[in-house]
Amino acid sequence: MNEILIKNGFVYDPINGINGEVLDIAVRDGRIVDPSRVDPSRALVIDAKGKVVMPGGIDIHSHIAGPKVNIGRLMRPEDHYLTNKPHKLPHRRAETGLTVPNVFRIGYEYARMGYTLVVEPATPPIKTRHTHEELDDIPIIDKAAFVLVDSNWLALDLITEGSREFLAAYFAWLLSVTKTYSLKLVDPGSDVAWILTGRGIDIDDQIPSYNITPRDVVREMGNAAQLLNLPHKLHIHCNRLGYPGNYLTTLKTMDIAKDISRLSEAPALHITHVQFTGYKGDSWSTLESGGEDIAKALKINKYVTLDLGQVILGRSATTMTADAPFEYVLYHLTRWKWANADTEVESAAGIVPYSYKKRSYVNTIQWVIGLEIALLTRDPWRVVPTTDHPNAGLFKDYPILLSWLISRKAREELMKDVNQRALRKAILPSLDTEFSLYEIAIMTRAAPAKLLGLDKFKGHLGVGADADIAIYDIDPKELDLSRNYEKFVKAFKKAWLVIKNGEIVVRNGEIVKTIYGKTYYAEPSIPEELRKELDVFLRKKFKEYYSVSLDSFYIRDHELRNPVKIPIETKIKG
Amino acid sequence: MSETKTHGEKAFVLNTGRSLMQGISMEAESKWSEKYFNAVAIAEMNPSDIAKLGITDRARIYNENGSVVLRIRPNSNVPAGEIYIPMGPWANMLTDPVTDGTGMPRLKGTKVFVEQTNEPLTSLIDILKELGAKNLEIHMEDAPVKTGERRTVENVVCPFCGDLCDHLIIEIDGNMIVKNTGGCAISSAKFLNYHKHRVLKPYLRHQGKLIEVSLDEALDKAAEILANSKYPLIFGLASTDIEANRYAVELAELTHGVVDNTSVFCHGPTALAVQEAGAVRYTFGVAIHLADLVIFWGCNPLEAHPNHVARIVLREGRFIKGRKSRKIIVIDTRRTPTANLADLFIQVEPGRDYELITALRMAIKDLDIEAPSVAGVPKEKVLELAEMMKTAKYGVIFFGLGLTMTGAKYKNIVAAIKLVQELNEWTKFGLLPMRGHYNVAGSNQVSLWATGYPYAVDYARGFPRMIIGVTSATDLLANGDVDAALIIASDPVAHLPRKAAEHLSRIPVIVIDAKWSLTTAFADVIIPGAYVGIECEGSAYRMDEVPIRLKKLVDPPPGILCDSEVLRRLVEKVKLKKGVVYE
Amino acid sequence: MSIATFSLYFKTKPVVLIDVRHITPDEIAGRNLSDVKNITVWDGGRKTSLSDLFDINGPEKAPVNPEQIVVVFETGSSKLCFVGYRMSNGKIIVKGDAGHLVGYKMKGGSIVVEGNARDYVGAKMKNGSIEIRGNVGHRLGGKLLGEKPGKGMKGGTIIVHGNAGSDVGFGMEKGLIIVEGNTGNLTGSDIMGGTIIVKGNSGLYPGVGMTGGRVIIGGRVEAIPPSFYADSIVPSISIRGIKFDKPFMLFLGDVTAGGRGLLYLSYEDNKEQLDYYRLLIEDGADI
Repeated sequence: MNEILIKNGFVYDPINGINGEVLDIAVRDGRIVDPSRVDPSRALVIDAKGKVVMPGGIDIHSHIAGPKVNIGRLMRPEDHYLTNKPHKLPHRRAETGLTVPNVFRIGYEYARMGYTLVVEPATPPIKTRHTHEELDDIPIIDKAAFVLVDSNWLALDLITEGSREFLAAYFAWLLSVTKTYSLKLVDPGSDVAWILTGRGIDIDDQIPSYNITPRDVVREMGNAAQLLNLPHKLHIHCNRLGYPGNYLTTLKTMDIAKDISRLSEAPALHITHVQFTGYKGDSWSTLESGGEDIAKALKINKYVTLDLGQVILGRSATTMTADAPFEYVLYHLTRWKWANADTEVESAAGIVPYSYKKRSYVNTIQWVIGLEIALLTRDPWRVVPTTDHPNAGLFKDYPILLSWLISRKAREELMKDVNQRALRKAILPSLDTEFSLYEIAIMTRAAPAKLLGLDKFKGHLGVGADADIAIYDIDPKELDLSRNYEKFVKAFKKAWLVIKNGEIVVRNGEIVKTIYGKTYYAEPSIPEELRKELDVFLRKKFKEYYSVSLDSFYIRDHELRNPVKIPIETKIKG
Repeated sequence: MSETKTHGEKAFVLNTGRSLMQGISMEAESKWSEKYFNAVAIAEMNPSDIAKLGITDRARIYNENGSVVLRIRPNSNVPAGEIYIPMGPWANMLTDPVTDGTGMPRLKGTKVFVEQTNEPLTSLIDILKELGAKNLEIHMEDAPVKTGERRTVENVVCPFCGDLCDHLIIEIDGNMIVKNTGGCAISSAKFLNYHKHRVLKPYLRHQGKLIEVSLDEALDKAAEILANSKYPLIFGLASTDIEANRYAVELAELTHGVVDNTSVFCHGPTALAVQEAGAVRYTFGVAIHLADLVIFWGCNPLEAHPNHVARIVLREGRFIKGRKSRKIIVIDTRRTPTANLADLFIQVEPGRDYELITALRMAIKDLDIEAPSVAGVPKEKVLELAEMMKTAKYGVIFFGLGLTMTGAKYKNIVAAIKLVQELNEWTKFGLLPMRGHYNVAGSNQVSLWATGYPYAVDYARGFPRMIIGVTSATDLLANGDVDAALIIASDPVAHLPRKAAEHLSRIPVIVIDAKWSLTTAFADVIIPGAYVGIECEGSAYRMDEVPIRLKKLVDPPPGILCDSEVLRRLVEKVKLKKGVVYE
Repeated sequence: MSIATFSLYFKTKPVVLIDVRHITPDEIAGRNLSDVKNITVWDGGRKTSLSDLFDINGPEKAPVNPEQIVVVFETGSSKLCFVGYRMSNGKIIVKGDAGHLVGYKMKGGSIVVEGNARDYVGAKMKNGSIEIRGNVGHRLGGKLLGEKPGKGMKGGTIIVHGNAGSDVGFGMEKGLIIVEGNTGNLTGSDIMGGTIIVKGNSGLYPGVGMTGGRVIIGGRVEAIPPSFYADSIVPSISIRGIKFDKPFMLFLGDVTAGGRGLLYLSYEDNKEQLDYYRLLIEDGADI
């Protein structure tokens, strides 16, 4: 019987409306229970006096596993050479890698920061077995994956045929057999264009060999997600990512939410790493932030949510995305290494090493955009912080990112070193917004849990929730975080104590135990008649399109270390 | 060694490679068989060379590495001045262990001398003795099979080569496999004979003899060897599943040893090239639907990956109407069976592929080619080839060990990757290595996610390092840098130059294998494993990195565990011996 | 300046690769002998101390200035790796063979190996000098795989009296490498600067990927990469004090890397391959 009692901490639990009150949190058998149900004489009692207690952090978008991450590791040995940490067995396996760390460092680094659930946001269906094999080997954290669908020939065929229910049924099947959680669109339709023509396309361009546009794809897939009743609907990386002027495409994409036949009041679209598609101006030299326009659009469109894709200046990155045409463009700017993988029927991916420089005009504008959107919207339930790891920055720099939100001083310190011409064009220097610790808890815990629809048992500390708890050694009553942002960064980089599933995994910022978390996947129901029809369709299409048998496509529960099925009652009619 | 000989005569260039018969005989009869001897202990030469040297039926072939007497078969596809020996222990007696700091020995392009002889042919036992083998007795047995219920299993995945065909229909009678539909000849040999020539019991070497022991005793001894070793090598892993690979990495980490897989002597240089330049890849389906130009460079799929051409080139795709809408080019040092089905065959001088690739890059960049001829290929032909590549809609290159093992080795692949990257300025183009063992690609994947490096990973200091040439198995063995070895589902004695094999005679060796590999002759501990894809379920990665789940068709023989389970238990035992367990 | 010599003798010959990176004048400087004996050494994967592997003779107290320290490995071994790692001053002598990564990331001082050494000698060194009396392995003065060109040797001098393996100078930026014997394939690959002088023969494709610097091959070359353009024939050359009194053909390249490196090949030794280029050069002169 594993019982823990955390006493005297300042608890930040926005889902339950708790804002820094001193409360006791009790844990029993991996879940939060009422303190009365724990026997203080048997329980491990932790005195969190003067410390911050939060639910475990949740990252809704971080490239932590799968084929492109592994190509990143392969093509960047120099990323690992100076980053080694020897093992400390049996507590901790060996760690290596900065921008593309090995599986162990990924899990440990998240755990050290108090994060306990992370979503891999892009896995091509045919290679998703690989994604799961990596996810399985990432210690401590829970995980989930979004499956790539925007350039999927089967889905595009169905959209062309106009069969909405059938498309939803196909997605239900796809989520279920690939053991993934939601649908991901990356530069919609562009991987079809890339594989056929070597180019990407904009939202109203025609997809080569199909009579439809990315707009149609977003709308129809959005409709299918409504029918599927997915907890997290469409996760979209907009077209023209990385091109000056692309903020207009983002605005158009956000607008599609209005054309989707919504079946609930929940957000219909999530626009991811919006920084990368928030560029105003018609060339790199005239680049400006589209942050203000996007913030305005968000305010009047309640069916859209965002994550930032915040650039971390002064850091190297490894850009990796299913946006293969964009990576090809980036390769022409960097002229060093470039990897591309064209994946049959479904997608493609590109990988290019990159580094964000403080003195760079473009990089400074990029840094500005993410922060402007976060600060101008100040809507932590709908705008969550990410770095699109390892694209705009590394997840290990989240505490730095958050410090820019809680402290104007932190921003101003960095602004001294950035490109001043870029800064002169930005409104960021005039913004004095500072987030509270409660708002930080919303955007890193409560909001992502809600966006994922896992808020019953994730992202809060109420009775019944999973006992995923982070305790930070910082006293918000004593310390003005805005003035002392370095202390905030230090405390959030290395949590004082982290509990995962009721077990203590981090003490004083060091890993003390290696355990393995769960993998969540969605299993939407499909009406029986549709299932039969779907079966015929799949048999035919697999024979026609795929180089693997339909049978090989199924990932079974027993292949995963610890799968958790989230059954979903859909609205698909037979 | 023939050190007394004076090398007055002209040297021949030795090339090695896989052949269909080598594959079939190995799978059907084992490497200890007459059939394997007949398939592998042979050298092919151009008839004119045979006549010139006055060779009747056999010859002594030698160089500073060693010497063997082999039957000589005339083959006019082997250019004059060259000699071809299938991959195997005979060829290994001659190949050069120098890896040029790439981990890849010179398995092709080695200089040898040839003379007519009437001496007896070199037998397998002669070779094993010369290498210092510890046991020459083997306990080869067939696993008990009997007929019974008849079943047919569809969509069976073949655990032989990197094509991982997943369309096989396997008919089973009791626990006998009686028919394989859809598999190639090697696949059939593998499935229909899975029960033959097996290691059925764990063995320890005791006073020069192999004695049967319990699995637990064998694992204890193995754990003791590993725990006592200062720097063990854990090697193989390309013919087992992902799970086994995970445990192998953990073992290396536990013992501060090295974990390496067989890519070190196949596509290791390809991985090095990706480290340098990146990659432009595609999956099979992309080639099926789009490739109007298919180039096979330094590979011979018809013999090494027999279904490959039919699955990809001949199949009709969405935008390509099968074979007739594709151009096929074969670039190789000899006219292989694959070359015979090409629209264009380009013969390169052995070891000179780098020149041709570089000249193509120059042609594509519109740079003048000054060199009079390029790797034996006339300049006009280079320009013609470059034009064909540029004007293809979607070109694909499948390349093999002909590029990775010879001449500039990894730099061949660096140049090829850059060529393909540059071709993408004009059109769509991709490059894919023809991986040999069915899960060698998966070995690389596990190694990457667990350690950050694809192979040759050292844990001496408690964290992963890959310093190619230093931490690669070939170099470690050939130079005697490790003091114990665990060989998993692999046969380094059959694949590595003799110097590497010889070190295995001097250090304790543990072998986990389903069958009596030649390496078992060097083993102190032998632990049987079951076949993934026949007796065990498990994941493997196709050469295009598509992960596929292999099925279990029949139970393993009594008492025999899957490799992953053997390794899991071994890890537990080593942990106990090392005292790394939670209190 | 008085010199303090520390002499090390193997207690038993190592059977696996050992890592002696900490046995440098820098790390010994200012220490008592008893502390020196405790310097960490890795025997394969085992962390152990100097005195477990070596007997050591030397003064009870080492000078504070590493410049005054000489470390002598009285018995060599091909297993002896990371000799002189990051050393900045003083001297290390190996009276026999050494292993891999001799002088890796060295910053100053000198290393002499009287026998042979293995791969990555002088890799990523910044300054100082390395002399190898015997042969060396591959990637002499090189970089590690995956790093950008220029991440190899950045300065200093390496002299090899015997032969060197493949990839000599791989990715070097600056500095001087002299090989008195022969070198393997790909000599000077991906160099951005610096000078590589090979007095003997060389293997396949010297200079590939070079964007700057000089590669001089005084003997035969197995094959010339096609990505170099013949520029001229010079009657003799003298570079960094080394004089070749015979004609050389100068090539520029590697053009596929947009390079402006200079590749000098001995004309007479490679006449068969170079005569064709000679015609090209002479044709050019006519126009």
